[in-house]
Amino acid sequence: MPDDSKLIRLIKQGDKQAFDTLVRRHYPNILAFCCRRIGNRATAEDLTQDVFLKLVAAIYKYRAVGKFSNFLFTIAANTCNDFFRKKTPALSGDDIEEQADSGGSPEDTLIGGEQAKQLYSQLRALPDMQREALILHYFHGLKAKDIAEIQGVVPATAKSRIKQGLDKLRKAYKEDMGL
Amino acid sequence: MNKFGESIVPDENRIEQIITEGQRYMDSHVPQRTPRLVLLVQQLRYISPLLWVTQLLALVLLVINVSTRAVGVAAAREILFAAAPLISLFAVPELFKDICRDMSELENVCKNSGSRILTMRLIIVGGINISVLTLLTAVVSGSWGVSFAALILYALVPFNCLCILNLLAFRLFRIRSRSGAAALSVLSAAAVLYLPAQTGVLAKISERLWGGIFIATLLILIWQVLRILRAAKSQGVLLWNSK
Amino acid sequence: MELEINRLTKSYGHKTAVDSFSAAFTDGIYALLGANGSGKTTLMRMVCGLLKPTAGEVLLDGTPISEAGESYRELLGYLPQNFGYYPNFTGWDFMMYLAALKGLPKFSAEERCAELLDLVGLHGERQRKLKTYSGGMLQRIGVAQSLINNPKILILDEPTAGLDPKERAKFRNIISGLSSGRIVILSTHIVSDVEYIADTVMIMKNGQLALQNSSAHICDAIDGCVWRCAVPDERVAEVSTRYVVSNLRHTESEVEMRIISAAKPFGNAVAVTPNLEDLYLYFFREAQAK
Repeated sequence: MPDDSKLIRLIKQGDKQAFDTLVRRHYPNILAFCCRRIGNRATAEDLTQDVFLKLVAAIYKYRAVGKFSNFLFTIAANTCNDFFRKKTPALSGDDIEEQADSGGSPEDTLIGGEQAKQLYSQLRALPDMQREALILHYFHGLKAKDIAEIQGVVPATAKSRIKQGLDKLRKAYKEDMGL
Repeated sequence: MNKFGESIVPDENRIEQIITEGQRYMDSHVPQRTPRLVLLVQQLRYISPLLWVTQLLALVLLVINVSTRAVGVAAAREILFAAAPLISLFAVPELFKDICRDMSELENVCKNSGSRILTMRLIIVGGINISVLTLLTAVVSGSWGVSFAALILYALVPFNCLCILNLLAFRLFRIRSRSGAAALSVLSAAAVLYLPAQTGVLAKISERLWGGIFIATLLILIWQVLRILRAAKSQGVLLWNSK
Repeated sequence: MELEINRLTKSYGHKTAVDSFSAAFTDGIYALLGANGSGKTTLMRMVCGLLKPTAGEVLLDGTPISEAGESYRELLGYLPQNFGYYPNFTGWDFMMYLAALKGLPKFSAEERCAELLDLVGLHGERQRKLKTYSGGMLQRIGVAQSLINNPKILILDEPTAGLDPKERAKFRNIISGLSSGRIVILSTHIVSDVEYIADTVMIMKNGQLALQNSSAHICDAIDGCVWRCAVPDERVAEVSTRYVVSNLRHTESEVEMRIISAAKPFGNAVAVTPNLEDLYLYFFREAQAK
């Protein structure tokens, strides 16, 4: 299977199959990120579509500096941030729980376990950049330097956001547990 | 459900939709300028086999001469002076092959301009010829132990002269046919070879004067080439109708 | 998008090939009719930026094409009246070579060339050398290459030369299908090729635009000037020298002639609806008669 840089080269040459492969390879990850960021599946799917259409427009000028996944996550993060800037987030932690209790099939619900529900509601309480950093770090396994590249900050700031976010999550968890 | 207790299964329809939209965009995407390297490789692919044949022939003849003739600076110079016109026989016809093959109208309306294509051909043809001339000089120099610097001018000066003559004649006589181009090349090569040999002028020219002739011919050649490129950039099918 | 030709002139010494030609083009098919030597090819070359005008200019949306340069050529597709090819080019090589020069990336070029060769019925012959192609096949591949970059301005100089009736019908269908959202200018002296597909007809004579109108109304200029009449066999030669005859048909005892004349030529002449061929003959025979 060709790697991302090869696929991008092929896409620039007009290879549509390469675009197909690239989308299928990265779609699940980007969808998951948007879902975690936004908390609403339908909106996340729309934003994921935007991400890939922005990608295809930008790809002709793309120069491989750093990882392609970081570039893609940058587009995804910016797209989600633009969404928040334009709209007041309609969902609170309650909405996520409602969605989970909707009685839909496991494939339809975003989250299933109680702990996961709790985690999401606590995540949503965090400031945007900390939440984003935590999602990228813990859900997507990205290192601080990658997160820094995506968020356009220095690695120290990214590390600080992860730490501060984690501290706040721990505190919120303890409060919820009555500890 | 993943380890976080999530169930985020991608919807195949949405993926298909994205792919279709993206591919539609790819179809409508206005092409960027073709990268220089791609253009160069493409033009190289379509270089006439005759050009390669003459290079090879010159190399073979040179090797034969070197192995059969008596060693000497004068002999080395004569060999190179004779090889240069052979090598550059198809240089100018190849440069203007679009005109000789009636492809110029098709090429000159393309996004990549005629002057860009011409530049690529100049690089290729000039590069091939000069490289082979350098190689031949190195072979003679190495085989006979004659200084490379003492010999190279005897290859480059006739090369310059032939190119200057051909470019001038192409413009003056408005050559448009393959046979005309070939005939012109052969006549120019003959003139470059025959006249100096008949007048014995070669033997009378000092090395310093050769150096001067080389610089003068090089400047004239550069001036001609720049003029052609400038004409190719402005409207009009190169020089053939410009007023 | 508007292509404007503004008093375009091309002179070679004392001879003027195109004389102060002005016209404006928007989307649609424009047929440029004219006899050989009327200046059509010279005009088309200037519109393509291949020839430097002696005077006047060509503008695309107000910008001279000499300034637009590459951005104009990006929109342009051109089929010259005569074109050649490099030796040993196959049909596929020819298309891919020009696709690269038109800036198409490799995969897009392959897809596009395959599609166009299929459109003109040459996909099966693409690996054959061009020197083995018939005249009709060469013309078809010429049409195909003019479409490679999906041009918004398509200039076709005598595109049906060398095509048999079936190929010409196919060509008409292809062009008709392409005209939406495009400016198509095609020059020809074969009236039937453009009679049904052109939106606008322009008649070019002696380097000038002699007449321009929509195809529905172009023949209004000779309305009431086309007659059908029966003439005895022995008078045919005499009538032919006196009038412009667009058609004649021998019957048992006499000859039915279609005559173009401002005045009714004979008592038994019946006025008929003029067609484009009548107009063409009227324009170009009239000059000779004078």
